[in-house]
Amino acid sequence: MAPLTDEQARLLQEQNFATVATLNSDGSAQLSIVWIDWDGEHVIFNTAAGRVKPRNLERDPRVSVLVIDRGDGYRWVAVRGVAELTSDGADEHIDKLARKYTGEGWQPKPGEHRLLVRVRPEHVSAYGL
Amino acid sequence: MAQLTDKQREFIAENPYVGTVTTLRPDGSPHSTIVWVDAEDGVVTFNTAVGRAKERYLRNDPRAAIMVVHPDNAYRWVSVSGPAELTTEGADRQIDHLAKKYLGKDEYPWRSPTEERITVKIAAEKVDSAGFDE
Repeated sequence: MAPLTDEQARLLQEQNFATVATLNSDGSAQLSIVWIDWDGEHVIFNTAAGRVKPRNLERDPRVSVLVIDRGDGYRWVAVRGVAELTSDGADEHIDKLARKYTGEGWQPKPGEHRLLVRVRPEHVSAYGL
Repeated sequence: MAQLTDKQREFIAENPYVGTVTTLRPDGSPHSTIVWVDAEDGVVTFNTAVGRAKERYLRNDPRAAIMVVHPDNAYRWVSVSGPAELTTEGADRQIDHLAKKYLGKDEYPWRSPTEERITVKIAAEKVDSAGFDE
């Protein structure tokens, strides 16, 4: 277990975006951009059931999350770990993220089932931090 | 084989936006890091040094994926994945070109005599993007 430094944690708590890498069924990497959060122990992001990311993570939970300072591309932190998916608290959490990134609450989409993804850092690499 | 549109290619080639590149460790887990990036016909390129993790991982498994995001607009991005080809030929010239693109310098300022540069070319087998209206 590799906790984040305060400075690294702040990068996740500020309005920065993350690139998440999951593994496709053929073992290749799938990349996507997500809103990101840190709860003191886990890197957290939010997705919706049926998307490629959660399907990939259910098959192979190994994930890499790289967060870059939107004001300075030479400050970044990359976290690797194993993802845990849950519906519990996912709706509240997407609302929290929406407020963080857009200043407004989340507008739920009919039929969409939100999922919260938690990653406990197993390895952390950083640059400029 | 997918192709980059002109706008996608220009987005990568003509802006000093860094890229997130993901390679695969020998155990198959993803390894992500930040690189300077460039693009030409159907190929996204970056530069690294011989012996680094990225280079070793790509020699073991050439599958790579790269994401370039607009720093002020995360809803504008291009992601490319495909097999990577590695070559030291022209890699010194390429790092100078990237130093110009990213630092405005004619020469890469951190050259080390013990370090051999290497160019990685990712064939755009799959291209995804957001924020490009075409």
